[in-house]
Amino acid sequence: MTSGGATSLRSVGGGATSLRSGGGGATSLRSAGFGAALLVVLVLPPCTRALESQLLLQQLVQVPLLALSGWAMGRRLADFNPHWNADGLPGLIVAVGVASFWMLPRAMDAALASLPFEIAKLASLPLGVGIPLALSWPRASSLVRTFLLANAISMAALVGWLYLAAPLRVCNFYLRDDQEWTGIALLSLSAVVALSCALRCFLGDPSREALAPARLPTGHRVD
Amino acid sequence: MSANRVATAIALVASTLLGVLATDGLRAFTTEGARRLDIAARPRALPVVRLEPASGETLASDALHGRVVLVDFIYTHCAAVCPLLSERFGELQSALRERGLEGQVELLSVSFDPARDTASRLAEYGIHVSADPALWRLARVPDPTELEVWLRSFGITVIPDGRGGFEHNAAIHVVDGRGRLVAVFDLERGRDALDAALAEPRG
Repeated sequence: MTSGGATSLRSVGGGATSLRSGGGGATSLRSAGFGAALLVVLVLPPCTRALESQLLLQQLVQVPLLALSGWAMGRRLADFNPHWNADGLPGLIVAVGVASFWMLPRAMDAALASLPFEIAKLASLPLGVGIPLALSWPRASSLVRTFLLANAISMAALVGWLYLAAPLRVCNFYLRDDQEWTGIALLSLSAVVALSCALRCFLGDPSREALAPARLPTGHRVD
Repeated sequence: MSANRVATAIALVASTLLGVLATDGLRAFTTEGARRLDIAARPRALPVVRLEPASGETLASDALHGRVVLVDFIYTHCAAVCPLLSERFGELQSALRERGLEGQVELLSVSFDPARDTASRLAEYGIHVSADPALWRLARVPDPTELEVWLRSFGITVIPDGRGGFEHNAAIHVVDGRGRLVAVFDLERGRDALDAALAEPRG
């Protein structure tokens, strides 16, 4: 594919430019520094111990922060634009694949039971989720982004429901109560994100000019 | 085909492969599921440990060879899942008695809390759950290292619950007449565990 094709594909993703604005500049350097510092803190043994002591902290703090550290570092690479990732799909599929792997209860158990798995987790969440997301999300079309977001919301709700409905513990290393709290947290999170998306869809994005049902002429009022 | 399409296809195949490999072909999503699949595919020879039953005199676990043993892991202070396990073992005990299977199939409840579960405490618990010593043995593994080795061989994870108790895998384990762990069943599948036990060779 020519670079011209890549550019036109990229322009399909409407708000992409705002995410890419830091590429190469001082902002992206600060962002990369923040990401690297965050990762260093997250891999410290006292930090992994604390965050992995509970399923809730592990799923809703440790995993997202590890991905965030990669994302922040990846912004520095935003100008690295291989033509094979022009539409962002390869990178997004890798990110979804790696993130899904670490949602498997047996993978979470394995990270606690064996050091190689733990190292794999601490490395693959920034490298395999955060960085590919930073490189690929800005290039993805709004259709792809909406699809991913909708799936993430329903997946969080499904996992939350499973945690609440499972007759036994899902993870060998986490307590039943902890699992239930995590289930409630995931269901709440997906509800909040879904609601805010719905509000944005129906009430319009306040950042855009075109919204404002309030500006309808008063003559159209039906009450 | 563009490089972008090729990369997308490769990423899709790789992600799918990762998912399939990580779940034993979409069959096991949890450690417990993986343990059961592994045991069914590759029966585990169990190491010999010293057991101290409620009756007091210790015996080596290989003294149980020659009959099929259904094993569960409990602690007597348990208020959550162990009473359910013991209820199922009580039903299995009645089934063994009705079908005249004494000497062919035996029930064994192993405590993983040897500090609190002394032989006399186990004897009390046995009376509480109406365990008949001829059919259903309650025992502790007095040596902590041997207990650790046995738990690891079975694949049992015990974690403290922060309130003086434990959480642990709750299942019915089928050990054949040669001392090999051959199958694991949900506690609600006691009948199937018994059928599996009867299908196993005893010698």
